[in-house]
Amino acid sequence: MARESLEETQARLWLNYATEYNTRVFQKIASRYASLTEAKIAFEDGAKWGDALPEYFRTRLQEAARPGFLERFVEQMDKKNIRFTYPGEERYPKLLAEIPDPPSVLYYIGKIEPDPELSIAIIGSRHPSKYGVEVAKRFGYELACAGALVVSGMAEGIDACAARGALDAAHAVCPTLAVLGCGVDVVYPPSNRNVYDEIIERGAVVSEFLPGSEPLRVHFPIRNRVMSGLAHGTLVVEAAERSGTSITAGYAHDQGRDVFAVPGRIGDEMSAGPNGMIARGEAKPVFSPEEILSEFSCLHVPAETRPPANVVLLSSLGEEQRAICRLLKSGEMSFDELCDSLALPIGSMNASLTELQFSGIIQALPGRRYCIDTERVRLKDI
Amino acid sequence: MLSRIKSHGLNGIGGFAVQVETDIANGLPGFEIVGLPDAAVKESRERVRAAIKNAGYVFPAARITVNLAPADMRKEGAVYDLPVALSILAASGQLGAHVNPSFVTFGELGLDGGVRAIAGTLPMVIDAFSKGETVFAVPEGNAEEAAYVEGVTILPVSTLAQLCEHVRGDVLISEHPTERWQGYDQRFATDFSEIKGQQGAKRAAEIAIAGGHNILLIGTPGAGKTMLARAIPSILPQLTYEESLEITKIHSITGATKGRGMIRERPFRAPHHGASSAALVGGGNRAMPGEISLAHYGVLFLDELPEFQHNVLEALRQPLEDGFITVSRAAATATYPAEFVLVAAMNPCPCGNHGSKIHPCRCAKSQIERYRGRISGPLLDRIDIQIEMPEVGFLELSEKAAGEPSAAVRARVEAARDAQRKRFAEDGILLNAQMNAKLIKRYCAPDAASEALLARAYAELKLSARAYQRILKVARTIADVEGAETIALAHYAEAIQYRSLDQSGREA
Repeated sequence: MARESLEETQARLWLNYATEYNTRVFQKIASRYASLTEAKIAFEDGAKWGDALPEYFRTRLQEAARPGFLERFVEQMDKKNIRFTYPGEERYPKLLAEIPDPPSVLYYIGKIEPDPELSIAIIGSRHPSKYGVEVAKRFGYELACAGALVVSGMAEGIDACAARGALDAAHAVCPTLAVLGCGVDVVYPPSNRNVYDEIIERGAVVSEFLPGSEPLRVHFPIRNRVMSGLAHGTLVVEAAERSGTSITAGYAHDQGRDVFAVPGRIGDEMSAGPNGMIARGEAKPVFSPEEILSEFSCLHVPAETRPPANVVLLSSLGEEQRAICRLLKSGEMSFDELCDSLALPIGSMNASLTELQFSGIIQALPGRRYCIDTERVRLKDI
Repeated sequence: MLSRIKSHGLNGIGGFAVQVETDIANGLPGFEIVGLPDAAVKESRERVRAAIKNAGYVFPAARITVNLAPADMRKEGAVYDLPVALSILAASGQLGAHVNPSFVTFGELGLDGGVRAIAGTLPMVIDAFSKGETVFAVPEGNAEEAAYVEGVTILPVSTLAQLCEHVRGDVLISEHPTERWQGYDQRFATDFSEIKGQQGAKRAAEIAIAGGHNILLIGTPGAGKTMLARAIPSILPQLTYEESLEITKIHSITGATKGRGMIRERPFRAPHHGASSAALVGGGNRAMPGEISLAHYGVLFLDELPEFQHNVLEALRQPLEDGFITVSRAAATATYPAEFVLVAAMNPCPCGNHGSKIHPCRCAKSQIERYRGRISGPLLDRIDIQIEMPEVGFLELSEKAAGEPSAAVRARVEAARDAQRKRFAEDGILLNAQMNAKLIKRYCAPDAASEALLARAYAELKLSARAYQRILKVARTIADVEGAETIALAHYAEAIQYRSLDQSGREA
């Protein structure tokens, strides 16, 4: 389908402005007429259905029909570099158009790749563990390196880490897309400002909510269907048993898309989501990004690989530092646990930790816990 | 007839001599007290009238004028009951010829003629003693604290009648024996050996006390923050007689020492986070000392630091720097000493579980930032040591062996403080924490290897210039605790570990 006439687009924005994210109301009104232009004219002439609409929609329809209103609306969007697309238009993501109730207008900032070869949504908890953070970053990075589009919700936690990982793939042209639960010009949560700025630089943020919309609670489940709808497959990394993540995974099922899950440590609260999905047969367990790539048999040889981690020989370290590294190799430990296992004077323990930390070998976590910085180094016990 | 009785008044921890003069004249019977008395002093008319009668004397039916000289200083409280009653009896000739006794006296009267203990006895005795007075007739309940002042004669008074007989020379009051300084009271609420685990935090506390650094403990609920704070007085250096006297003086003003004698342990003050700034730094219309002065030479513990009102915390900044506080009110201005170690504690986030393995944290990053942001940068800058306390599991609690006793830690602290005293002999300070930029440059200059480590830490942790100086000071103290003359790389490296808030800020 080609681009609509200017008049038709005006009518579309008019109806979208009034119905907001209520796609069903939009479609119900649109289905009465051959074109949206006709619907608009009919409403202005006082069509009967207009009176039958709830007060809220009627007022908004009238407001948007006022002369000059839409022109101002478009002008405002232009100022903020907000663009929009709609089903049938060439930039509208093809995958999204396939779902039962695609957004009637999709606002975006940045550049959209409408038909990516592979698109994977990475979803999960806002409160991930260190493990979740690492996994999300790694999958985001390697999928983007292989040329896939990483879709996320730009929430704190897994979402932001996946986007960060994808953005780290320096040579990927359009590595990531973020689907927001607010207007595309609203940065939520504000702590993700940096990620937001980079995403609109190299990919796009999209939203079906009107520009300027606040991140309301009700928005997020609605937004989730767009996330799964934009992706060939959805990957779950760390989530609680019942959470927004399970809603998104449910949408993916309904839309006939694949769901993957990264197994977590048993016993951890954030493992319950993915492990439960695997156990119930709702998600396919994956252990590496390559498995997802091969699933869609579009196995690219990754254009680039992660810069090889620095190999650190344990023998190159001092005796105390070596002992600390040996302990941390089997997982993170708190300061107290290290003290108990090593029986070193507290002073030299502190000193060794600082030195390891600033040599980039270990990382300090909240709660005075420490772990090997596996992203940067690999330890060799010789 | 006219009589003069010597008494004393307080202004802050200093004081002024008060003359209680009574004139009895013919005329319509009446009783006036002049000389800027406050409501409590005015009320003393009724107490004095009843006490004189019940002590078996006659309240003169004449025109009585009592003047509290000097007339331009405000007189407060019930401390003048006893001198006023004595003065009236002397003026009416009921005490014989001795109308101007040589002692200084103060005390509150009961209606039965009994004498009650008052607040502020010790500072008044010390002040009057410094102005040449040596004999004091004080309420029996205050005799012990007053008797610690060397060189004074204390006459404990239990009833008005007793003092009258003493003045008349019938039955003399026997002198209260001079109290001897019994030394530092070593019975502590909590000993270091009782704290299981938390080696890192205990070490941080030791360093903090050794160098006079303020310390912030960050940890999940139940990590032992409060327990550690309560144990800190036990590792402070032993209290000396002079320090004890000064502490007792301040506490005496609030009346806390009635019937108790000297304060022989270092104070531990833990005001609730609802405290007003007047409660914390001092105030009220009589400019009374606040918690920071009551914590003088001891520990001020602020639990749940971010829950304190903003203005209350900001009021702490100046005394933290100066070691004293001047409380100014319309009616009075007083300066109190306030040299204390600030021990603050906070949760890592609003729900308290950030960094916990057992209970996952539910706070959004922005919530955590807002929570930590409640402590202003300038205040945080005055806290040299910030240490995170990992959570302690139940098994660890029950299994761990007892730690090092406080006495051993205190010995190291005292040795480190000695080293500092020697080093700063000519610089006019006592502790590493008091070093200014110039002294830091002189005493804490890192060698090349240390400089490289510090530069990396400075860049990675995005430290402020002030935070950098704090690290140098703390490194100096660590070297002192270890008994090292020069600061080694390991000392700087350890000092960097005590910037917890900078480190966790990096997570985001």
